[in-house]
Amino acid sequence: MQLSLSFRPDRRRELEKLVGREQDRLYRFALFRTGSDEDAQDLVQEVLLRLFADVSALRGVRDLKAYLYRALANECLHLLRRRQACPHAGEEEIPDRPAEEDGWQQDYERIRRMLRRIPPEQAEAICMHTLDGLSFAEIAEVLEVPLSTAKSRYQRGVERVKDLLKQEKTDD
Amino acid sequence: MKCDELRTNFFLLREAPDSEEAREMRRHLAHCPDCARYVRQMEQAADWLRPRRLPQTPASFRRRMERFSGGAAARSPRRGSALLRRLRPWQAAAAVAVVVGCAALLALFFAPSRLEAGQPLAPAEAAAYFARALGAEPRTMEVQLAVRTPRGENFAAIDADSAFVRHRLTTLREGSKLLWRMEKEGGRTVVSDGERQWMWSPDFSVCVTGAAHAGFTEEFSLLLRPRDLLAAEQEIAESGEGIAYELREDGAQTRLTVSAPRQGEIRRGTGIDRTLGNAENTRTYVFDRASGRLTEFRITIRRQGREEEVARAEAIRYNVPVDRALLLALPALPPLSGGGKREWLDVEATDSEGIARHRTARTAARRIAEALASGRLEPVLPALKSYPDTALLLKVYGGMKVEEVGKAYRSGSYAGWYVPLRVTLRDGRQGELILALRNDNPSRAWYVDGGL
Repeated sequence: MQLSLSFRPDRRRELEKLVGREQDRLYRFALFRTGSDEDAQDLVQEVLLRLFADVSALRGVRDLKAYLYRALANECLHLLRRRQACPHAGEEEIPDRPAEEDGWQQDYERIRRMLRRIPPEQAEAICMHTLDGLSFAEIAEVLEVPLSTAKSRYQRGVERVKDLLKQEKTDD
Repeated sequence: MKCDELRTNFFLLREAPDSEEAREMRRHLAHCPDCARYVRQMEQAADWLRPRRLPQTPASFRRRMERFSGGAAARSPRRGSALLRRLRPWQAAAAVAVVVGCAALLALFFAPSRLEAGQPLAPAEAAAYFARALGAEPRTMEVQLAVRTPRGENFAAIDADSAFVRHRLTTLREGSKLLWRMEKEGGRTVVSDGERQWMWSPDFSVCVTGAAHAGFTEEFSLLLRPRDLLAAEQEIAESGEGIAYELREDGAQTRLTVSAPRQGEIRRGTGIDRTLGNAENTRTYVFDRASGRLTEFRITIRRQGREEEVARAEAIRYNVPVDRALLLALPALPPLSGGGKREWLDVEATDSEGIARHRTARTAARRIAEALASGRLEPVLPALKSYPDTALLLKVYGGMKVEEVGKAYRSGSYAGWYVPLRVTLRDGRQGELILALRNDNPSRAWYVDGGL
């Protein structure tokens, strides 16, 4: 006799609570990677629509938070690839998030420019830890790498940034 | 501890200074100047990579998230927006009031709250109160409501400048199904047998039917189950984001007051400023202390320094006799005044996601306006799914001239975009329409959510 696997009844609830708790970070996660308020909002929503549409698919997911961030990271990556493949396709005439006086855009741009100069996997580890506030254990889950790799990618990335900053100082 | 190990974990000194590892690292650094220099430089670089300011999460995003974070929308999902709205007359004062109104009621229930006066109640205590009130669901319930709203508008179109209109809600629980009837005096009625909904109004030429989640009552559906309403408040209380409540015990009653600030950044449009979700508002709940049941609630907004009541439950009665047949009775659809047969329109059959998924809100608005002007609606019908009475649309907008399509903008807590249009109607009158467009659906296709 085959017994049907019963879905954990609280998985939807768990996801709802996670969204409630993480929404600010999810938004910033997507905003930093896409550089667009509209895209960030849409991508987070698309990922959640997909997850909620088939909650039973989350049955085997060990770490829901990591799974959610991984899905969002992939979605951001797809968008950036589409943009690269067709540079004008994503251009919208809709005004994006209005300029704000608090200057976060300049901060984001400064960091983004620097991270473009180091290997992407190191940049991603820095991004996840410094900007997204994920622990190294969480980063390891999201990136599906050992904990030691998550830490060393971060360390090597910061080392590269340290060297680049030193070099900039010398050039000046 | 070896130098390599210390260097890999340099961040622990800042991030977990009390950990055993950090203590060991400090001991190492005390006699290893190379590592000390390395850590200092690494910390400087890590600091450089830390943003000094973080972007605020937009209110529009928070609204989008409500459906995913355990709010009522997550419990009774709406497929797009298959709701019917009465065509607004050209002279309507605020073209967007309907749309903002839709968002407003739910926004009320989810807005972060703050206490302006009185003794603070810890969020956890407030949450406990809500949890207690979430007792056993009644078999039946009757609610008499008074809401400031235009009679002909949709249920969630609360408008502080309108007179109070009486509403009556009746529910009957049958097993897991909830049967209900919601009537707006002089306006629309919606009936649900738990599987389908029907909506009609004396001034509709099209009466509609749809699945249980068709969303005809919009955020008013929260009122059908006080549990949903209170669960939403409980979520807010549990989230503890600077929330404070005022509690008063008064004989057999407990009165809990939640004050919410206005939401979102308001951009353009005096009409928008007048709507509910964009005003400071106060929700007052009265519970019976013995049963924990909700017995009254009241919503006020603050305008020009004054509190103005916009909605109140005049009576909530539980487990009263309800006649099932009367509850579910549908009207015999009378013939149309100009002749012809009035029919039930199944919004499921006609519904679709919208149009122009790769276009911008502005382009979609232009396309829709031009289709209205030319009278050829066929290509944009999916985007007009909220307006099944296309004959009426054409009667008002057919033959108009689209003079200018302005830039799309966002405002307040609304999840979509507004696009202003300057038009000249067939009879020569000129004016501005503000179309509210949304594409927060899986296919990201645009549809008109209000403004016509």
